[in-house]
Amino acid sequence: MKRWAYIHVGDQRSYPDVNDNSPQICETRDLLVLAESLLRFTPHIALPPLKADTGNGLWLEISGSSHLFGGETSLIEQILDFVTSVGFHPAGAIANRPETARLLARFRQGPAYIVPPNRDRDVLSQLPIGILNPSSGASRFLHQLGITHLGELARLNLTDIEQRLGHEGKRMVSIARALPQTPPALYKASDSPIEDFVFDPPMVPDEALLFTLKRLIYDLILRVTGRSRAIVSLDLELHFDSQPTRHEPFLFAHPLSNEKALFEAVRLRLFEGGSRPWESPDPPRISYLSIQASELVDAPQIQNNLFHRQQQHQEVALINRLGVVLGSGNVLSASIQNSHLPDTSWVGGSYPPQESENPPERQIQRPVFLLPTPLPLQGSLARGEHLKWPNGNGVIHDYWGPERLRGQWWSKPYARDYFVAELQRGERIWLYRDLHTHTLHIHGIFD
Amino acid sequence: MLLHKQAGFTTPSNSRAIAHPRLQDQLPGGLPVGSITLVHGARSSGKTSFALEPLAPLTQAGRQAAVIDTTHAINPVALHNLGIVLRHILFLRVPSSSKRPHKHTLWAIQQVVVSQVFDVVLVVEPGPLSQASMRQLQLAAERSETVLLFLNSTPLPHRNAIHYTIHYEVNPTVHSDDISPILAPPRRASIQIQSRGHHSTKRHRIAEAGA
Repeated sequence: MKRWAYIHVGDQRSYPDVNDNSPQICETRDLLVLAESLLRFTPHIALPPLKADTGNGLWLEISGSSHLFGGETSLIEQILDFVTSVGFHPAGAIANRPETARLLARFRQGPAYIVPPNRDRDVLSQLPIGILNPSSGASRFLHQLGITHLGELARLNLTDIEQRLGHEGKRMVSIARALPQTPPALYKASDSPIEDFVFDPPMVPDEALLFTLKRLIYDLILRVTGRSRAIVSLDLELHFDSQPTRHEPFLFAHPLSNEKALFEAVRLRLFEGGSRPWESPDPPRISYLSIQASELVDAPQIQNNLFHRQQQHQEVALINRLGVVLGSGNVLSASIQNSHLPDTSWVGGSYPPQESENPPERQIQRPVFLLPTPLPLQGSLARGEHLKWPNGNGVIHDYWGPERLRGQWWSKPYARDYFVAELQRGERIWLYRDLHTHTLHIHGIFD
Repeated sequence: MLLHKQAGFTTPSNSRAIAHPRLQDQLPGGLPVGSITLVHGARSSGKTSFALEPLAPLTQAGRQAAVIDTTHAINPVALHNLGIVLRHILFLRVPSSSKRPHKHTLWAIQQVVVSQVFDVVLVVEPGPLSQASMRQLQLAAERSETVLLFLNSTPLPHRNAIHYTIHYEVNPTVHSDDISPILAPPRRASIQIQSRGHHSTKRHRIAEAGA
């Protein structure tokens, strides 16, 4: 026996925690956001056909999940609390038949109503005919028969009513008798939730853009957290009226499931880092904005230790913020590899690093500054010789070496004789002679 | 007399104190917590190794440090060789493609210091920073009780900040024919510790200052 909850959310919605939280018309997209956010209570969500008489609301099939939330009463309370917390004004009901739950949620007084199992017909019998929204012809006919409540309607002969009122009559009697119905089609959430907004007319990006962005991010996080997931990568797309479309990809070292952290990350990228076309004297106008969570992962386990959780949250927020502005490749931890070659002696990874094996023993002395790309040296390797490189020069006071290093034949084959040279000013540099070209290069500086 | 007292500072004694292995006699309380320490000197004078040394005992104790590197050249292998536990070090690089590298550097320093996640924040070659910026960072370091270490080839403006300035100067090396640089005779250098308003500049010789 399946049990259905219907949550009626009314016609208006406001955004908590957003500067302007005045109620707005509840649109289809708001219902879709709500549907995905309610996936935290049950994977089976259904939306009614978007017709005028169905009102704004959705169904949750709760047979398999109510016990996880302490029973039906506790579950409906938790659902209503959650829906209220995200800006709706809900009422709910639970019944065996989806339509019974919908009618009770929409037309009974009070926030929640639970129909005992198999008592749908009894409860409906007290409700007036008007809640079925009959056509004027059907309403007139039922009035002539003196039928005012569903209980009276349920006692009529189904065949007679169908012959007189057609499909409408059959539907009304079926509802009144709480006959089995075809369950509503379940909603299938997409793998990459997206939120978008069309600016009509196009507008110059200013605080209004931030406001819109905040609302979109709020809804995006609702969709993501409803799935018990967190965002790893995000794609932001901005369309302008006079400039090419701008794509902003985000990659988070730590999965995000917090709207404030995500908003801060996007705000920093758009208004603090990179190119900001709207700061030009003739700023382009924005016509469309979309934000899509392109990669999700299971939400990280929450630590039980409160202090640790808070500290971890601060650290995660910091690392993500830094990654957004500086680039995630510039926010890293380093781990030492078992390699004698300077190019492969360490690798970068996300911070903090995953648990790893003990690092290798200390290696032979290497310079503190290792140039990303070795620079060519002019001069020869001998005491008193003058060396010159693109951003420096000096006279060799002394040098030591060589230490021969060979690159792996399968990747970067090279053969180099490395030397430490001390210049007369006291600088110590790490240089090598390429054994193929016999040229000198500076590769590092000791300090 | 201890340089701390000469300079008018009380010795920090809390658990966040950061000891410098080479300055235990001169700075028994460690590097000043909640303040800026400036290390500057010529290239290859050993200032980077000098500034990195306190990170070894710090990270071995499980505490965290951040290294903000504008040169993109800091070699983690050298840090590992100094005994620094790399898993407790966050490396930050200011993108070379940045149109406003100084602004990004300043922003990154502020973010890291204010977060209170790291005990030491080492900034390598931050470039020119205004006195106002230094003052902001000083206040941030004070609030978060962070040791903020600047490593620069030229002195930074610091009149408004309580700080130490450590000059690390290299003296001419001793020529050696047949030994590796690791075993080469130590170069003699000096450290100058200075504090605002006290004019108690003292030159202290560090005898074992290798490259």
